[in-house]
Amino acid sequence: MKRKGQGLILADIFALFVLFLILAGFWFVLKLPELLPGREEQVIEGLFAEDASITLLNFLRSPVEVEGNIIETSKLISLAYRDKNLEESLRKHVKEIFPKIYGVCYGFFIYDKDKLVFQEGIEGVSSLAGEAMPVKVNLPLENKENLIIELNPTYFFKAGKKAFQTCGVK
Amino acid sequence: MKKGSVILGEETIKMLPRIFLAGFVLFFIFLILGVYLARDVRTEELEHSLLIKRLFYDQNCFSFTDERSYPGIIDLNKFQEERLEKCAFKEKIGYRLDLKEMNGDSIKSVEVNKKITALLDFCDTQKKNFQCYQDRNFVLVEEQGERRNALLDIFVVIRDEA
Repeated sequence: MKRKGQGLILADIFALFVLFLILAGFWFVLKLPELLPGREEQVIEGLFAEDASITLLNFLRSPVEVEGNIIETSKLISLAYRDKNLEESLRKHVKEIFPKIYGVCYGFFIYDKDKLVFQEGIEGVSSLAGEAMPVKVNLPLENKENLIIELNPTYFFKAGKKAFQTCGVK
Repeated sequence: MKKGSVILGEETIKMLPRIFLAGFVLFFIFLILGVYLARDVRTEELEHSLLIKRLFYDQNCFSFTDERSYPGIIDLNKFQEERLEKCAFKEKIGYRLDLKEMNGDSIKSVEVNKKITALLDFCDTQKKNFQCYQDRNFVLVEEQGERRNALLDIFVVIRDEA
């Protein structure tokens, strides 16, 4: 036979038990990091492509000597676009700078619309070993057209660590 | 039977599976929550990246400024330890900046937070409580109104949080 109030008391016991479980659960959550043997690591990475954009902008602003005159590289690029004899000066300047930053892992390209008009270095390809991070800028010419300048360094994953490292730099 | 006593009868037996089920569900909720919270979130990579951006972009650091700031152009007058300590300093981060000519000759070197940069000597050997990063950047040096090409090597040590 069921007595008056018995159901209410049982509900109280159940509620207290659930409360106990919740508190025990919170204790468990707080203690779990100490109990687990190997802790998972989540690495938040930074942006690397932006570093290449500073390098490219500096390259375009860098002084270069052409036929006895010091001019900016962006000017040399626009001159070399018309006068193919100046391409060698540009190539020499590219080789003086980028290998010191990226070793052999870079490509420097100039496009006139979609047509490739100048190339130095290799075309970067993303793979399991590394990641190509191309940056591009538009270089306006006097005839109101644009050249597209692209720098494409490839960063390689450092062995045993979730980090990028440029190849060829020591 | 005493008056007011509780008989654990049919209702109690019905209650047991409910309690078991509630406990089971709660255990799994807390287990998932616990496993999620138990991970280490490593932000050293990000901190390193942010430090470099601050050095390059903040006009209070070493970037050349006239009407605007030029990231990547280094004003040699601003390339000083005291200035960089004010501009980019964090207790657990130490860094050394080596400014070099394109042929490798040193122009100037500065160190910020020497207590931490002392660990740079151990970067190739033991790295238990700290992380090391090395970057090389192509920069322009502005000195007395003239610009020349240079290289900036950045060595960063970030000590793990205690």
